[in-house]
Amino acid sequence: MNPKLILILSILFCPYIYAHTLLLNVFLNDDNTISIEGAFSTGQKAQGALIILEALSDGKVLYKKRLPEISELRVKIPDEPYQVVLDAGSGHRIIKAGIEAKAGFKNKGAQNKTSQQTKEKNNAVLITNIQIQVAFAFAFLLIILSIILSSRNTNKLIKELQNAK
Amino acid sequence: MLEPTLKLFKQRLLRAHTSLGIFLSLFMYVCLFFGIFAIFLPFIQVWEKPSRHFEVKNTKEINYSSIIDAVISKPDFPKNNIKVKLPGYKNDPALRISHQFIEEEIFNPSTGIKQENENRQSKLAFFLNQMHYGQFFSIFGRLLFGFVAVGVMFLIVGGLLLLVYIKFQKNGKNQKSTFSKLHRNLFILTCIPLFLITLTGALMNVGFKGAAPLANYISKGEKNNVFALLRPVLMPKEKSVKRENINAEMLSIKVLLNKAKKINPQLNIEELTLINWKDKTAKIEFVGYNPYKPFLNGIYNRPKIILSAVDASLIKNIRVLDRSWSVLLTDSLYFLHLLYGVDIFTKVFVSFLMLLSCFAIAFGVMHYLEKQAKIFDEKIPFYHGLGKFSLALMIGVLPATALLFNLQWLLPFDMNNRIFVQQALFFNVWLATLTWSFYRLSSHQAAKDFLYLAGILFILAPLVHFKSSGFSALDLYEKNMTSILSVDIVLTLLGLILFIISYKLPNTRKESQYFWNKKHQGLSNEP
Repeated sequence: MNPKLILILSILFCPYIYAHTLLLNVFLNDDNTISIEGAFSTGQKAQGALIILEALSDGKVLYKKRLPEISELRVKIPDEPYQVVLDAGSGHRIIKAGIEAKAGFKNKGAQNKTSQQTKEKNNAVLITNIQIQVAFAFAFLLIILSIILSSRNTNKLIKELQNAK
Repeated sequence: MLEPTLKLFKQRLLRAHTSLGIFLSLFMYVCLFFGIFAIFLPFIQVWEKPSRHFEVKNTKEINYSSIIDAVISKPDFPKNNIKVKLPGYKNDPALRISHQFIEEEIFNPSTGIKQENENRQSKLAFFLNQMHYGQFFSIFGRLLFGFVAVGVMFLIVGGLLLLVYIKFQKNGKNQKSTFSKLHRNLFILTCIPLFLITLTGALMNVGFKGAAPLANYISKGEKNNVFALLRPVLMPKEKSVKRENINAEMLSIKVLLNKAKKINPQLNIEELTLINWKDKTAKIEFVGYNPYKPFLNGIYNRPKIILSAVDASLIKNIRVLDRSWSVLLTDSLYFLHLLYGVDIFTKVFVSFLMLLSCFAIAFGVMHYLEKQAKIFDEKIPFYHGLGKFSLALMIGVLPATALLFNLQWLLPFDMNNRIFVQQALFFNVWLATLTWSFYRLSSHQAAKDFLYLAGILFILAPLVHFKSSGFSALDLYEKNMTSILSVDIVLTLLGLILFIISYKLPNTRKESQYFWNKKHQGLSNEP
């Protein structure tokens, strides 16, 4: 590809890469707590966004609070494996793996269990994938059929023309 | 201009107009076709949702405070920057309460009962609008449709120049000249509004989106998104007041609303923003539209009144003309395209003009195809891939869209991936019309089939709606749900018109030649 074209395209499309995106940052502190920060890529604070700490074992809510004016929360690390969720509403969720305390999780047994929520999510993804495949297969079939019919009709007309001569 | 140069110029202009026109016409047709639906977007988005099917009563009697208080008193609900959209905003009869990070909650304002919000399961109007400006195909679609708009502006200017330089036959006696005449005459009628609409469309799709190099240059490499530079001018933020965390009694919304109406009686208040609610520093913003100053407000320029929620004292009153000329100019440009706040008659008039433009484009394509068909000189039936493709794209879109309206009420609202299924069926039916176009040797017959099917489906759509929603036409009328009923009426009329057209249209090429030139061949029905 022409390097000039690549340059023009990258300049044209770069605004979409740096759009108004919500970001979630999680840091480990020295006192067995984590700091959770939500902000937009533009630097604007995400005051009011909901922070949820969910147990990986069963999806139980371990902690839930909205971000205050400073857009940052300091939370004690849970005893079991968890994930940090930034719920921005309208189904828009940003998820980050929970940071382990220095001494590790007290209740490690639940770590590998898949929650009911995750199972349901996986099933939904599977159904979506099947539906997408069926839709595209049908569309592909219609295109192939159009080409076959076009070719059949063209041959028919050529024959008619030859017969007319 | 010297005679040989002028001749060459005319020749080249005509060729450029034809080749670019054939390439762009199909995209422009799609854009205009869905644009007609986009004009009536506020009506369709009410029609498509069961949650908006309730009796509309006098909004003056509504007790907003009790509904709003119940929602925002929840411990989880944020207490700052709460948005409340009043009933009637963009034709929506519901009262909507939302926050940047909260899913919108909607209420029947008369009863205060919370309604199921189907925003995730129902996106018919949103989809039709996305198809209009290319957003369905993401940035690629937006830029493509934007560049198509630029091309169409060239076609309009070029077409007008051709009218000046070339003397077209006014009384041509064949089908080709009839199509040419209709193409020219219809565009003469619509060229000025169409030019303004495409200009603003191009500005929105490529003007802002494609200004990244310019934004990068003027911000000395700091910003690539031009909107980041424009936002502070177009939508300046009010200075935030720090919450003092001292609880205070709020005045009722009704009292505050009446005070705001007294301050600026010309303002149609549409939206409220509750700031630092229940705190001593609480204030309320009343944002609206001033119909007495159309063109100058409604999009970025939104006049507002800010009152203290504690004692109703006026904090700020921003009127239409208080904003800078650049904001007024931007709003007037957008107004030409978005028709914000205009009455139904203007909307119908503009949609009629756009419909004429669709016909003009179609006649242009038919003129080109007829020119190609001439080569065969009646010896064999004309069979052209572009003809079949244009047929499927321009007429085939009708049954596909009609099916979309039927599926809106046929598919259960709790169905998994409802929107995907609806849209996948729409695109597959549209594609199936291409297959059918190739299957039928006669394009005339295929066009009649599509119009017939579209007619039936458009007539069926309101019946499916009545059955599934549980509201008959009479119920809708009696309960003052005229926005919803008007969509049903328009769909029925559209179906009937398509049905009649499918009946009247000719079956064969020979009949077609007679059909388009009746004036020159007497009024006998013999082909």
